[in-house]
Amino acid sequence: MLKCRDIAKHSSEYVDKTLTLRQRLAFAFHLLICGKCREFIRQLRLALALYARMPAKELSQAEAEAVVKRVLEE
Amino acid sequence: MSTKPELDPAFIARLVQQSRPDFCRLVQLFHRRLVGFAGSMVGIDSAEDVVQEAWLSAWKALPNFEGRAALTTWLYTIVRNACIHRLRKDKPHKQTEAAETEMDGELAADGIDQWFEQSFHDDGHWQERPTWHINSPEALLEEAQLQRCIEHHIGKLQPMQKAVFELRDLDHVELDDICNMLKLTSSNVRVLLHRARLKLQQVLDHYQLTGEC
Repeated sequence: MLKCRDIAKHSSEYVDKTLTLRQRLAFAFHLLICGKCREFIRQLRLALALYARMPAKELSQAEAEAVVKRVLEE
Repeated sequence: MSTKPELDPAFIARLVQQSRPDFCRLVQLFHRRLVGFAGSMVGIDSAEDVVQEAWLSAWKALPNFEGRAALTTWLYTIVRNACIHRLRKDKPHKQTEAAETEMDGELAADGIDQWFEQSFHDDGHWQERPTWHINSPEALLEEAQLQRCIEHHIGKLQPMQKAVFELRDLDHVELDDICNMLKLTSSNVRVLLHRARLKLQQVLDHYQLTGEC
């Protein structure tokens, strides 16, 4: 029987769908009966969705052009 | 333009034809991340140089890019090869430096283990889970302070860990491909990724509870 700590410990594998079928069934059963773990998994997915949508750490166009100039012309 | 150019076939088609404005856009999107990744292999002092060498290799190889690998995977592989080339040229000094950089990162206390263990009772069940009052990516994106906070904390991750996290959770690269690109075992990648995600969750927990970084 999985504990909440097990759910949190393997939460990445759960959201990445890399658990075995047996593990996934055990996860599903625990999530069915545990609201705190359902909330934890929901929050993990929300955190990842936020991170994926945060503005990228880009160079400015001028900085990128300077890099390309150095790379291709020097 | 999308921050994930590999999703845009027209962009890739122009790159393959060595369109300079599009190459510039590619550099704009990836340069900082690639320098961070190279820093984990050759040390921060050499990373900028190595990535510039890699950009030149990428430019020359673009006409042969067949799209069998995602553009992100292709770029990281070129940078990794440039790093290996630099390490062979400069060894043993740079290898030592890189190893030390990695070791420093591994030894850095990120507070994750303590935060994780404090979240549970001895019997393995949760203490209280904080309720998040901001509950959608859109609403969270409006919190400028939170974004700065996330950037600050993710920026402090060990470079290889940051590379794994970004490859998986920004670029959605398959775990096996990340292992191959970074020459890490599957279990290493999973541990690095999971700890980075827990760090993100820890930052969000704290922000949601206190409104502060």
